Amino acid sequence: MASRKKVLLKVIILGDSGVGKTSLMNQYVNKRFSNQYKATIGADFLTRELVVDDRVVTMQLWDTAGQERFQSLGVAFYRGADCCVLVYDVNSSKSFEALDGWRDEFLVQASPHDPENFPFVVLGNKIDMEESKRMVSQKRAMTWCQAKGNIPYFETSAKEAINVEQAFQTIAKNALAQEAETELYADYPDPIRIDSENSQNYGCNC
Amino acid sequence: MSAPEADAARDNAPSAAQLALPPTLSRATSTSALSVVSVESSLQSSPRRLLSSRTLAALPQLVAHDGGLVKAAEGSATGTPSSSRPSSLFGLAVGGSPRSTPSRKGKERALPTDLEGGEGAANVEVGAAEALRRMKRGKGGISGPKDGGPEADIVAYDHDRIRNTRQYFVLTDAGKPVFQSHPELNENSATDLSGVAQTLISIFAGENDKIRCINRGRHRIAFVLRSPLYFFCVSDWGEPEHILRIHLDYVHLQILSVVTSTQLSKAFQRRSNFDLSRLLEGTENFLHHLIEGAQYDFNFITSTLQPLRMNPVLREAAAASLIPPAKFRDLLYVLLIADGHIVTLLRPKKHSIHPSDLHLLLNMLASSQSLRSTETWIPICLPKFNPAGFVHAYISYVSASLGLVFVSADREAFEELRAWRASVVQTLEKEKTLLKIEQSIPQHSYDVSTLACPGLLHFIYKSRQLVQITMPEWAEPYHTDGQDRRRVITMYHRLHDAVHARSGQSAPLKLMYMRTEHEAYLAWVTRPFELYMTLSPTLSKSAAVAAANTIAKWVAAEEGRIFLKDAPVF
Ligand SMILES: Nc1nc2c(ncn2[C@@H]2O[C@H](COP(=O)(O)OP(=O)(O)O)[C@@H](O)[C@H]2O)c(=O)[nH]1
Ligand SMILES: [Mg+2]
Repeated sequence: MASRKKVLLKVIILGDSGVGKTSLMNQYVNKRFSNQYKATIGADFLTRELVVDDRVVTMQLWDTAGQERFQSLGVAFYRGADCCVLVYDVNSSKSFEALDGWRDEFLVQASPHDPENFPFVVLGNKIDMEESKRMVSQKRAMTWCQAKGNIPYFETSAKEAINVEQAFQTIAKNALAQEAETELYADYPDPIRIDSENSQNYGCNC
Repeated sequence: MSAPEADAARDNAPSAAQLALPPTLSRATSTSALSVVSVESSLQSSPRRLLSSRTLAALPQLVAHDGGLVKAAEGSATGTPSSSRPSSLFGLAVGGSPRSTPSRKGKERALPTDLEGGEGAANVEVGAAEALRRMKRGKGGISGPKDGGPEADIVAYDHDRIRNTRQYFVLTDAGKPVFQSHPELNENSATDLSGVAQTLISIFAGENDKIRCINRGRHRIAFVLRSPLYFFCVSDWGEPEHILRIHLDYVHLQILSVVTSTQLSKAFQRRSNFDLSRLLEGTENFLHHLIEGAQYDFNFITSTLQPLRMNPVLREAAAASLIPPAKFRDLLYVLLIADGHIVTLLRPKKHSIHPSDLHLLLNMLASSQSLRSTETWIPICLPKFNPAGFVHAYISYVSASLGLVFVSADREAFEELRAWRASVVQTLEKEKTLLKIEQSIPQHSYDVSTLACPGLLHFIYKSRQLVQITMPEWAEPYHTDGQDRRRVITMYHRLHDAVHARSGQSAPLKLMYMRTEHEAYLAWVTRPFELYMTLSPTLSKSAAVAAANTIAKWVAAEEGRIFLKDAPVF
């Protein structure tokens, strides 16, 4: 049963503090670049609708409020994510080396049902800065992504809006592909159908 | 509004009356320019633990003023709240207020030092949590001045409707929206609000606590957590918290009637990102109808029925024709419905029926026009009977207003029930029973004037033994669903709360009298009944008590017509 209803995808963005996660989301959602720090209840939410293969998709983007630098985000933040975006700053080796940790943290906390095939996307941000500042080469990043099961990789700039649209389009697409599979295997009976499979265990002894 | 007067007694002797204002009342007249927000959770004993320093570290300080603007205050949030400067502020964004009075606008004040005590509950001065419904578009966070004043974005909203409309939300424990009762009244998407609610809930869960309620000014947000689903409701009616929780529980039950709790937990165990809203597609109507019905309801709150008021002999005759043949081993309930009211209800000896299951059935019948025109065989989960599986309902209307419902646990029973229906209808028609029932429908409702009791404006009488209620039609000025009826219902809810000690009052009350400039109210609980009355405020207390006695006598005389008694079992 193909549902034409809107799909909602929970997308969470992880990475070291300062790599540009909030800026990327702002760039994508509001089309602007902002240095303004938005503190929240510990998470920040942005919503954007887009169309992927004829389907209207609502992306619910979950950002941290910067607390990633001193505490764990808590399992509720990760729970039920449809896609995880890992961000590092191409001008910081440390932020790149932290990706392993972020990926592991996600897999442990979110415990997705099929970790092997869970959709991740990696973004190397701040490519607008001077070439001399660059610490992580594209090759090094891509090698890592390949080793982790061919994670799609994008080099972005939140500041100059480079590759941001494309990256998020891929994020939505990959998350949706996973979603579609669930639907295929969903064996929950249509609730208003007569021949419901689950009707035997009613527990009536009359 | 002048402060309501209230008398209450713990026994039947009005002379022993004590003043026992329900806590909610003491606030009703508060006109503090600063809205105080309190958060209530399960761990009432140690309010300070409500927000840990861990949480606080992530929360900015907010200054809220009544104009509805909220600004980030200087400096970052600190650790433990100190009593001299309430720094335990949520960074929840804010409430803005389309409802603020212009005269107060811009009158910015420092953080409250004149805090009202919060009913012995944990007090946390929240920077405007009401704002769950009014957060700036697209941001869970604070709206800085940059985002424009609230005036700019609210133009398109009907503020009177926003003010008086309770809004209900359902989300998954991953923060995905499942249902929203009034999307048209929110400038924020359910997507954002669900994320915020989930995060709030998880902040408390992180402390092994449960958020129950946020109060800010006239607004109250009540939460019900039933993992994998979370429910919350925003209301400014002033009703006690438990009323909203009952509503939310019903929303939960309605969802379970479509997707059993077993299916639900399986789906979420398998995939925590499960999108329930898609599974509920096509059944939202049931939820909308249920919520609409809950607004002025007293059946849900008291867990009662209100059957069709009719001749008891006729009712008996109908029941006699509905006694099922012994061969229907899996038959559970047999109902005859007239205009949404129960005429009679037959059940097996072994099974009683829980009122909420019945409410779900009646709600389903009332929400769907198509059930009226065709014969239907529909799986439904009756969660109080068994939350783990479906039973099946055969639904067939014999006229526009008369419906037969046979509930069976056997999913193959359609054909035999259908055949039985034919013979049932034949019997009912032979005696003209159907016609006579049809004719009693217009006699169902009655005016309060029937009781010939001056000063009595409205009442609700609950038979505790029969678990049924009766009440007259709403007369002027309560006949429309406006502010007057809302006020009376809310008072009934408060009385109900007080006499049952639902908000942590030290003991239930037997008698309670309250008076406002508009009406006087009396609640009276005895062994056989509960009575809630609305009276003219000019009526003396002794006249009010006399009116209560009049009602009790009238009901005793009318009982056979008003209530469903001695329905056969099989
Ligand atoms: N040059 C440049 N600076 C950026 C870019 N993205 C973010 N920044 C800056 O990096 C700092 C941290 O960004 P922020 O989005 O707060 O990072 P977060 O902690 O990961 O959310 C801010 O000063 C941003 O202005 C980018 O693409 N290019
Ligand atoms: Mg950030």
